[in-house]
Amino acid sequence: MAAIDVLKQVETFQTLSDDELSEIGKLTIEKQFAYGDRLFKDGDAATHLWIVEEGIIDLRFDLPGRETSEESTLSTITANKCIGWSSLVSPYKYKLSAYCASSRCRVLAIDRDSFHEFLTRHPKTGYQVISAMLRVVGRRFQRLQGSSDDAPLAPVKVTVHMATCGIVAGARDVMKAAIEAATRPGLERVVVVGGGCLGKCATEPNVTVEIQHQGTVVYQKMNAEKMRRVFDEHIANGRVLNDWVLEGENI
Amino acid sequence: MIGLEFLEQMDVFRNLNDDQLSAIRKCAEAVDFKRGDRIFVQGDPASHVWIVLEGEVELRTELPGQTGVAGSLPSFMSEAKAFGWACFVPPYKYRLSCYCASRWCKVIRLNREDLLAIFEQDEVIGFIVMDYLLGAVGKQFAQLQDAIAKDRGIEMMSQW
Repeated sequence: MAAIDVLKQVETFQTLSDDELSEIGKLTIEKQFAYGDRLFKDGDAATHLWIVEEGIIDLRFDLPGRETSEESTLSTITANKCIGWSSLVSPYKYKLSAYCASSRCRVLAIDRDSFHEFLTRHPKTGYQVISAMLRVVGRRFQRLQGSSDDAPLAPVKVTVHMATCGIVAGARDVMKAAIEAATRPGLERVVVVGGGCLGKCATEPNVTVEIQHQGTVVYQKMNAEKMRRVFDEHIANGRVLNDWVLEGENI
Repeated sequence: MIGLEFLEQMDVFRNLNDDQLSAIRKCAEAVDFKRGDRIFVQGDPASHVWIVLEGEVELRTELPGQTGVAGSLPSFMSEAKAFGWACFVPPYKYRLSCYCASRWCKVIRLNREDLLAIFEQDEVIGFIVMDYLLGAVGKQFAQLQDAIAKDRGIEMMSQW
């Protein structure tokens, strides 16, 4: 059961009273997923409405015989937002597959039948929730319509190498700085993960930055401040910080 | 004036009682169009919900320069179908243009402000109508999403 404070932040529930939120909270179940886990699959019966409590969820179309990848992402959903509105709309089937796209994701699942029955029994709440849901889907339609001619956003993967040698050299502080930096607005497509030893122990902490279609860069002797600079310059603006690149590792 | 029997045949109002239908009827106005007439234009302020009473309308995008997937996605609506959900979604502008696609068509338009006043007084009507419009935008969204996924999927597969 979700706390009222959590539900208050959710885009579709912001106008509801504490009593209404408390009732909705009783219908929720919390679930956790790791990077790459699938929450649901395109074509499955849409049995739940999902709320992203923490982390990033990618909505992707799956291609037959091909593993999922960021390339097939149509929408990226961040904290306090809903996915699975198909559970409230006929024919009640998910239209895309949902994958956890951050190190971990915490979500709330609300059973469709119980939720719709609750909204029908409480039409005042139902009117507010469905009106908010209409605005959410309408805005997503507008964004999708506006972005349909654009290339998908370039996904970014930042790997902080966290083997023993890296941790001794300060990789935990680097990881913390990377996770904080990745929560900034506009960086929703950045995934931060921990990695193993690169075999370059003398230059730890090492960090690998992979930007789709732009190649891979390995930075050496990193610290928290340098990590923030890499986010500001390289990831946000495309300027590689050549002075910190591990020699011969700009791939 | 539009008869209650017409209104109750429409999917969007199917579960309303006579009193609720009468409230809706007060803000409903029937308008006739002939083939090719433009009912509203993409980007116009969205001030009405529309329901096709007779005939067929076409919804399509036509922004200058919008030549990709979104620019080639017409959809057609015939009797009893409601559209114009954009009047409840900021920035309250139509996202598609609407044309009469049959020899002639009769369309009901319902003023947004009047509808909101009715919904405030009777939330059951608000819930039922908004639930229907959520279904309408959901269908359009799924159609657009499918088209974009197909377009990108073909592009990705051609890169193998």
